[in-house]
Amino acid sequence: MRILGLSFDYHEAAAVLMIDGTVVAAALEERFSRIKHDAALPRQAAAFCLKQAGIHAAQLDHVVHYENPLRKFDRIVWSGVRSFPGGLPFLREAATSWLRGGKFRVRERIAEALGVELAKISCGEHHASHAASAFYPSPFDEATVLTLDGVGEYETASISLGRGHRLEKLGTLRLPHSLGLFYSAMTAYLGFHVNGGEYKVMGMAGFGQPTHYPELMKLFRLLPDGTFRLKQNYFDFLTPRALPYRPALVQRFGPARPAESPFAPEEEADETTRRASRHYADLAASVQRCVEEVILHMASKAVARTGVKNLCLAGGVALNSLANGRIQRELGLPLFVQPAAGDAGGAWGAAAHHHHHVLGHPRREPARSALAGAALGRAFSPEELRAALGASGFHRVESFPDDAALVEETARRLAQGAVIGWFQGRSEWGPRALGQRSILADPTRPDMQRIVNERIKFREPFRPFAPAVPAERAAEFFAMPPAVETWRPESFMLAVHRVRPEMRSRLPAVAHADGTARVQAVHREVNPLFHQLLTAFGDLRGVPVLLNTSFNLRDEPMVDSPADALQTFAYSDMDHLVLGRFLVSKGLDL
Amino acid sequence: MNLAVILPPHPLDPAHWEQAALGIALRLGGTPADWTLLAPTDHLERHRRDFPALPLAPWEASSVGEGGSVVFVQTVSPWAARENALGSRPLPRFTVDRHGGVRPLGRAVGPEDDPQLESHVFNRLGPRDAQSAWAYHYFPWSALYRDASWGPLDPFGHRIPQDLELLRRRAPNHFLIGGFGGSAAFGWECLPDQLWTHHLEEGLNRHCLDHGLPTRFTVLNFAGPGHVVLNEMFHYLLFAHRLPLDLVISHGGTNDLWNGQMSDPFLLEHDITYQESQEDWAQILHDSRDRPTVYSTRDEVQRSVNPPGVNLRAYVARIRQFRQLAEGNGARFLWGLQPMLFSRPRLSDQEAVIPTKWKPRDEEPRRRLPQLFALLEQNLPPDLAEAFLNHHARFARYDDDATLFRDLVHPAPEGQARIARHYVERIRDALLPGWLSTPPGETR
Repeated sequence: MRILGLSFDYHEAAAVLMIDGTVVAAALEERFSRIKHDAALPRQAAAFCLKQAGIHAAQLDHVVHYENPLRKFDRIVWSGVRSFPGGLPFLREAATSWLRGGKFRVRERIAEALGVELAKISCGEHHASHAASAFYPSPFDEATVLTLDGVGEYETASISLGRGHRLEKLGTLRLPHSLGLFYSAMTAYLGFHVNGGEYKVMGMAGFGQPTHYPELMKLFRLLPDGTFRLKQNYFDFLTPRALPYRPALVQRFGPARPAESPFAPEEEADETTRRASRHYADLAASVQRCVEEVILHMASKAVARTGVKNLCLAGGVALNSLANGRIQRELGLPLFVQPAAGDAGGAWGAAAHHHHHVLGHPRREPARSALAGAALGRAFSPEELRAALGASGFHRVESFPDDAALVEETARRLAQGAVIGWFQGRSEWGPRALGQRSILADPTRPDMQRIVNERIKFREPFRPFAPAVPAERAAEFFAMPPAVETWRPESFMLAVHRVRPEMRSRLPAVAHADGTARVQAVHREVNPLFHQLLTAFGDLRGVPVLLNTSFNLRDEPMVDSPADALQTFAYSDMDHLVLGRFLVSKGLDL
Repeated sequence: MNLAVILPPHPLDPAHWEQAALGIALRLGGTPADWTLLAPTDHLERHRRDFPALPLAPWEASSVGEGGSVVFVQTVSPWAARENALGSRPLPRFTVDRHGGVRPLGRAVGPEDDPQLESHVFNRLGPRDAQSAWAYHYFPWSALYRDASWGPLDPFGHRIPQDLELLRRRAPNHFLIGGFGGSAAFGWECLPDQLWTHHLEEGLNRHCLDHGLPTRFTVLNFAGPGHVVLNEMFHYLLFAHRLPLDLVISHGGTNDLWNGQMSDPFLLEHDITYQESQEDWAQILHDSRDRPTVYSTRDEVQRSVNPPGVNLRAYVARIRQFRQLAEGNGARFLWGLQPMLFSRPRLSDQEAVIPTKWKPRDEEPRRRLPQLFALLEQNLPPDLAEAFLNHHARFARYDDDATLFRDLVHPAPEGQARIARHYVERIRDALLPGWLSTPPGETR
């Protein structure tokens, strides 16, 4: 049974190919098109998936789109009518955009793009796709499944019970009550791009205190069934205008933070900048606290309702790694989070839901077949790497005979302070770099955060970096359980924990202002080469921890091909690039 | 003189007026004192306040006598085309823009605007309509761009007023310099005596005069909009072969490195890059619009697809070739990396609004350009270091309030002057002593 799941038209477009219940390939379109957050129909990602499996589109049994566009437009009409006459411009604009974009013709567009019969193409349901993307790759035979995002068709959240191959929806929450849109609105207010800047709010929150939490939390009414109601005083989620928040928010909390304005809450900054920065940081911290509390409420009530402690999370809000850490620590729940928890993961869920829930196919031993490692993208042969190197103009290339020699030399250069691009194997599925397409550096050096932010990634200086550590040693450095299974959020860098106080001075480049870190636990059996590198580095520097950030420059997608990697390497201040067993140093032969 | 100059129906920046007046004087003659200066009634008082020295009168059709000409100052919006007060009176009408570019209004470009327009077959066969008149003419050997708005052009589109035959027979102590490059070197939106080549000539001759040196210099501008180094070499081969030149300056970088990001990778591997319009021309010529180009279409975002190392290698390879060509013909060679808006550490008030007009389509190649410049500086080949003059690095020191750029790439008059100053210093210090000590008749 060959099922291709697709998501597109709104946020990250993606394609996932499932064969007999196993995902054999998964990729985001942006990695091919090089357009960040590309939402276009994922022709290239789909083509990759088919090629990876060695099949043609005609051999697909089903193609499933992750949501129901007609039902989604029904909600748009409903929203416009409910807000009449103020909602008319929104409705008019939406109708025009939908007609122009062909959003009513999703199945036809898929058929034309892929050359698949229309009869094979169906549409799923947005939150069912999210739920499926979380439950079916989890290790749980039964689980409580919670999904949270901006909005799908009508729903902004759902609670389901997964049991065996069935996934039963128990309850939903509808627009305008949306935790995802709340977070996005505040993201915009804090000067970041919506649907891309949310994690910057998390970073900013680490510099502030949740002084506005009590007031902001009054906007939420937490209900016994696990859902909530959100007052719309400050927002208009039904018929959003140019800004996703109302003037009342500005009246209450002051002017929105101008995009790209300096953020410097520390003592060294001038008084005006410092005061403004602290104000926005406090707001970020307050927003973050609200979101965490709502998530914890929903998670605990959902689990109470189902009686099943295993918890699966998906939807864009599931990428809130601070909340994921608290779920595990405070609620003590075994937690699985879909690595691509946003709309890209909907492609996964669409295929999985259709295979298991709709067609009734059983799952294969979840505990053993759970997703471990997210390396589901493209890989390149040594010949392809060599060809890319030859075409790049770089002439200082060393080649290593085996992994041991490569690891030894790479660790040595990292220990000397080099920043190294690391390109290995199949690329990652989801937004996190997990040692396949990573930029690595020594986290023990105090200046390394600034170096990587300013010279390599050209990011805002306050943005923290994440550590990668061998899973079996993670608890030495971070306040985490001693055993981290391969399916845990930490394996996918989706949970934040405290750096142990005695270790903060040893890991200055990855300990955030509030003493936390978004940890990646690396398992020897999942990523042996990366595990080997961490160990080798630990032998040299005393801590087997590396700063691990995604291999891309600001506002660009993660690199996927060796040509992307070489280009990004050329344009940044990285010292070396490791491509397979090749180590490239800067220096062009002109 | 019977020339009416109509100020626009909106506030007029004094700097724009100053440049517009220079352009009118160059093209149509006279000075503001000789012209009839008019302004729309609604804006007359405002203009009188802003320009108290100008004798402004209300704009009425009757203000313009028979046999006169009319120039509409059009610095912001294209208001002149909607202006019909003159009705069908057969008066020559022009517009002048904020950069002093004078163009005919309501008729095709003709020899009265560009005297060389009929000088040879490829000029005669080129565009005339008002939309595309200032455009590329087909020419077998290179791009031939004609736009006489900012001053006269020779038959081949160069801003060269000199008689090249006379220069061929010049005296031994008369040094000839040829400047090559793209639109920045051409002097886009600058008038003739604002060009770097003009300032360079003046600067060198002033130096010689001040120091009693028995030498004089003429600087010729062989640059053309869109030129990459390959075009520069073609123009050198085609037009400078008889002169010969004593110094060849290749002043550019942007066109090669911009186009090299997006042009055909196979050709780039062979050190060949070209302008986007060349693909359009191929499609027109061979009716092959159904076949894809390498450059993105107008609806798509431009991608920077070629490896930066290959892009830079191609550019440097052609510079090296141009140098060999020039030196093989007895000339010295200088390679100037042009300054860009991003070279400056701080922008003037007028420059600060420039980035707000950038198109999203060009975002990636535009973002890559400063990175490519940095890579070039970091990997400068030793064999070319002596010939290299880094204007980009020098402009990085200019944190004053002067407006040095019109846009991302084209220097304003003050920017042109500073570029010339850099060349004067280099030539004066590194080349002139050797020239002076070389006996006449010997290769210098």
